[in-house]
Amino acid sequence: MSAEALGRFGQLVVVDPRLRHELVSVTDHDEFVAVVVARAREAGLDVSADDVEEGLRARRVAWREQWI
Amino acid sequence: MDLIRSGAAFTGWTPIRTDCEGRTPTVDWCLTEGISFTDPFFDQTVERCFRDPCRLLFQRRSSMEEVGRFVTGHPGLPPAAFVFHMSRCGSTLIAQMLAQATAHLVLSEARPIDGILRATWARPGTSEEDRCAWLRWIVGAMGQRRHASQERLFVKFDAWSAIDLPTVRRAFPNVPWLFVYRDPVEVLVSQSMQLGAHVIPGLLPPSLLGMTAEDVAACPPAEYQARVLARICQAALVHRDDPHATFVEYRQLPEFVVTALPEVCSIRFQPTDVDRMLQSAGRDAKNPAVAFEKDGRRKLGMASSALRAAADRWLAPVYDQLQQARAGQAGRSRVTDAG
Repeated sequence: MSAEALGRFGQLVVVDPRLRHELVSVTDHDEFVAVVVARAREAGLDVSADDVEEGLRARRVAWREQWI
Repeated sequence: MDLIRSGAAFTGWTPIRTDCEGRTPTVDWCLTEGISFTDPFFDQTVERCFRDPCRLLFQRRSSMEEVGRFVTGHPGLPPAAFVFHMSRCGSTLIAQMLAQATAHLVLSEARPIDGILRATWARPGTSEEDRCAWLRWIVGAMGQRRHASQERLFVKFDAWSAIDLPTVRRAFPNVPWLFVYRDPVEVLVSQSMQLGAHVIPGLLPPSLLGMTAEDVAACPPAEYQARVLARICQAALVHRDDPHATFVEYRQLPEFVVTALPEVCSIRFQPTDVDRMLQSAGRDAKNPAVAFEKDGRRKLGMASSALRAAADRWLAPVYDQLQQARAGQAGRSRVTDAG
């Protein structure tokens, strides 16, 4: 499991409209984490729920910190 | 996890941040497929996007050059007009009214555009040529058609961006632009109730105001605020003879938008759009859930003597010049005074 694997999964999200649309349609936080982990594993990428949670947390912090 | 680097097309994505401080300027992108740009401010639209975990997590990063290559193939909507302003003067009302028309895409105080204009502050030595190219690219990338009905783009800049009017005019020499202003005491009272970023010491380099850091530190708040606002107004006044310039006083709103603005921009509004625009003018532009209340008199009654003194010394002469500039342009269009 790694942030790098999550990054590689992100590359798939960018180029695969069906995957992107599926993920955008999931607005519930816990469900989204579970779907990312499941789809990443299907793509052969070892992404954990903690990786996804950490990624989301880092993004929120980065957006907030630009105001400081 | 770093932001995603991908050579894939940016269709459906929108720049949300520019960073010009490093050796190579970068741009961060958010997935905006299915998102309307109707919030009073662009950042609010981004925050609405980020309520979707997918849009929050899977952001992209590109070089500025990649933006240029994308925009070359996807030029975006043509800008119909730019809105500059002294803050707290009705510019958000104009943006919100324009956003009611399905033919319009409105970008209101978009951070990526501000990031380009402030590149010379963050990265001294940035050439004017680079800044103009980056500005055209970012406006093009942000101004992509989001809906089949969209035909034109309006950009409302941050108040301090008026200082960069020469760059904006060089990048977009044929785009009409407005400068919106208001009675100085009313604006200063509004600022004293809730400070805008630009009137807090630190955002604007003191040299832009003809001051030193020590001058700024010693300056009473009302005076500092008045000097910043005066600097912004003066920056617009320098271009008073530009045939693309239109000066708009708060009391001309909201009628100006539906009567004079179409001629300024050489466009026509659909009657249904005009109805929607006038309806939206009945709401508070920054908080559309609340009905608009005229507050000019209340604000005048709240002004302290220090605030009035600062307004008289620093802003009243500039306000008079803005009024003269507006009177001078009355002959060249249907820019009438509704107030």
